[in-house]
Amino acid sequence: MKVLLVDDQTQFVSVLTRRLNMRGIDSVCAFSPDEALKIVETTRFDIAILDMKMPGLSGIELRRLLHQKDQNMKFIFLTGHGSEVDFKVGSAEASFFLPKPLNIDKLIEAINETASEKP
Amino acid sequence: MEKFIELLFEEGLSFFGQINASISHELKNILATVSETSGLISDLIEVSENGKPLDIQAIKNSSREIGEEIQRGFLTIKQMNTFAHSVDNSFGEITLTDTIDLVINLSQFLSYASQVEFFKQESSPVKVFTCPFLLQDLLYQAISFAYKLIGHKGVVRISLVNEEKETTIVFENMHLDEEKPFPEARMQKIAEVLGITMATLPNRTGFFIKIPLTIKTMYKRGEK
Repeated sequence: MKVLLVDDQTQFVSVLTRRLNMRGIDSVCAFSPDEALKIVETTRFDIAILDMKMPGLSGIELRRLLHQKDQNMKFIFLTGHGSEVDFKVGSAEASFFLPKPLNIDKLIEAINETASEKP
Repeated sequence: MEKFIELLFEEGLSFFGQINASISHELKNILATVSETSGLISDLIEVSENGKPLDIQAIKNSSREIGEEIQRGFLTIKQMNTFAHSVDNSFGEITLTDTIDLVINLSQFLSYASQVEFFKQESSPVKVFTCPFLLQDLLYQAISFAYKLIGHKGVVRISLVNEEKETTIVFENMHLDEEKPFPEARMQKIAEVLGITMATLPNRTGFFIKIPLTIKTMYKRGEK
């Protein structure tokens, strides 16, 4: 299983990626939607973990572009915002919608459940 | 005065909510980073307890990053506090450059924020007698409007032109389409109450906000 994490909070996403790798989950991070779109040109991912609010493209918009490129890719959204609108849209478009700050064990549970979902 | 109170309820509360939401979003991001970084330190210690050498450099880097995030948190809370106190007086004298600085800082929490270059004049700072809260609201809407036109990779240029009875804030380095209404209805409502005029620059390369140095109100300088 390969996981892509995308967030403009560079320290947060770098450390989270390192912690997932330490737990045996093969993970790569991107600091912007543009960078994520470049990475998926050459690497295939099973799951993308996307922040909802990023400069340039929102997590929802990026999810749609990534889904166009790979229809088997599954999604988890992260948010620091927590508005009701975000929650409704995020829950409808991804397997999980997790608030920040994160609990890494819950994230791993969400990753495993998402990976086991049928396409 | 009735129009002013109506505006405070209609627009002011919405602005207050907007700023609080963006600050809480910023604070959650900071806490998320601190939480992950301290989690990494725990992970590194756990790994070393299982026989691997302790990665001292990673622990040093993590500790430095936590310190930096705490500073970011303090700065955010300082801005939140300054903003919260802007409603202490309905009317009062403000230093315009300080208000613009605060609005730029608050607006940088927006996910679509551009970079900003604010050219301050060397001469003595401009004092404006106005409703500080509504002026902040207007400037925040104006700068958000500019960000949407420019995009997150662009730069908004802001400068001041001071005259005897008024001062003009100029927002440049963008293009306003002919179809794009300016000012937007929300900005226009506040501008009318504060006696402010707004218009696009020639060639629609930006816009300006002309602020009277003293707003005509039932209040006088020195009164709360």
